[in-house]
Amino acid sequence: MSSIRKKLKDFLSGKDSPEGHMIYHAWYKSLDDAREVPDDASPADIDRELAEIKNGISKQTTVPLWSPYWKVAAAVLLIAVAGVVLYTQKTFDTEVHYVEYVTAHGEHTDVMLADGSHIWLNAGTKFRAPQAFKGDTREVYLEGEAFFEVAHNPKQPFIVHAGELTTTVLGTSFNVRHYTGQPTEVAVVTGKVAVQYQQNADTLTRGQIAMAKKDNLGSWTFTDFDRYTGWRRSKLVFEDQPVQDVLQTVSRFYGVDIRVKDPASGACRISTTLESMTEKEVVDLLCLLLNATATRDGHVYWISGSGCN
Amino acid sequence: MALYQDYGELTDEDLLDLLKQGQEGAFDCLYIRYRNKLIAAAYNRIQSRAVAEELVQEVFTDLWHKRTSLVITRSVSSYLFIAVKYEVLDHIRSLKVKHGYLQQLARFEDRITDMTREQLDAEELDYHLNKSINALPDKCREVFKLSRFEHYTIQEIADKLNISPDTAKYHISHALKELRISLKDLYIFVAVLFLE
Repeated sequence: MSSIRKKLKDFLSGKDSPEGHMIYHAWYKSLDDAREVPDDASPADIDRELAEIKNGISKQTTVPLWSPYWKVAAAVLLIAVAGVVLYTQKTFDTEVHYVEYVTAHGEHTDVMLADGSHIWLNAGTKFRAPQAFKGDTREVYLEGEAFFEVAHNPKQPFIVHAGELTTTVLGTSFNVRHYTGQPTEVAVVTGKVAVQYQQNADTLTRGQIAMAKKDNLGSWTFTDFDRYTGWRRSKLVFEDQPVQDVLQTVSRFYGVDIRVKDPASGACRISTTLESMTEKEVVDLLCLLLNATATRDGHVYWISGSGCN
Repeated sequence: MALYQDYGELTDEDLLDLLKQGQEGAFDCLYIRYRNKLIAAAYNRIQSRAVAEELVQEVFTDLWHKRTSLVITRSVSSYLFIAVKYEVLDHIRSLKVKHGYLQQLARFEDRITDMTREQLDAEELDYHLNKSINALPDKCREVFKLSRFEHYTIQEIADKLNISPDTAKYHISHALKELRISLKDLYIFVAVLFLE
């Protein structure tokens, strides 16, 4: 690596360097401030933004996980979907204002709620919470996957609705996974949670997981916490899982589309850990594990091989 | 919203003065004036509307916090655009997107050979200087501003703030020391010109 390149790398890692700064300056100047101008905001938007600024509530948005310039440009459409949607829901005579947080595939983010609870949202997730928690409970709604660090408040239980499964806590941390077409599961990292699903109820503590499937709610213990919470640090852990499940999770997390072409590879099971890898590295690793090769067709990677060892 | 009309004719600098005096409407007016332009500036570098909006909101949140103490030596406009430039840098530096930009910026390596430090805008120096001044402790900043921007003598500062001349001198030398440290790398020779 040239010394300038190294300095640039250091500069982008946060070190102050005159050379790095000058390169940044040259790059920034090379682009016109007003090349493309986004649409005007409505007066109502402006008023809301001003209120957020003055109240110190910073806007919640999602950030692409791994995004070179050209990829970001292609993903603009997806990112445009993400953002804050404010809407009101009328309940009797009181109005509850909800904020909805949406992450696209390939993105994950975290949000801080009004009560101080900290929530991490995995890719392809919709999460809805009231702007302020009023009443006897703190109720939020999840589609997708999220990790919760709930601020302790015994007077106002925190309730997560994920489809038919509800999780009630007073203050603790746990992961909830509720993607369409997959069983809903709750994994507890600290404290104690109460889980309810249809007619079944269970109480879980650290290292216990519950899964809702058809009419049943099953629970067991686990030791590898990264398997359920590693995604927050871009670490995906798989243990003897069907290839379809793995590809679905990886595709969502990286914002790509990886599919198997032949039944032989589709029948495989995978155990592996993916940590801070690029899209290309992930595809290469999957090919290695499946004894297969990948071809790219548009935005889809097709994996084909003669089956597993 | 009616209030915005009354501010419409005022210059940015007038608005900043009104803001320092506590008129919130002046802030709203600046926001409306610059919001879209600044979002466009950020958007054209990072290609994400959502992130661009977030960065601009950061800039204005910062301005709101400092509204009573802010010193801007050049124009409000350049202050805001440069603040966006630094927000964009912070965003790129955030781990998640760094890799892609490293390659993109690397293509500008060769351009710095015929660039000199002087080409970095004087306005940019102002921005850094303002940021550093605003980061000084309250009393120290007040003394420094009176000395450098209002051209008060040591004695006048001491009288005005009801402190001893030695204390005033101490604050000024402390401010200079802090500013030298915070400006050291980038603009060392320009900074020295200003501070000596």
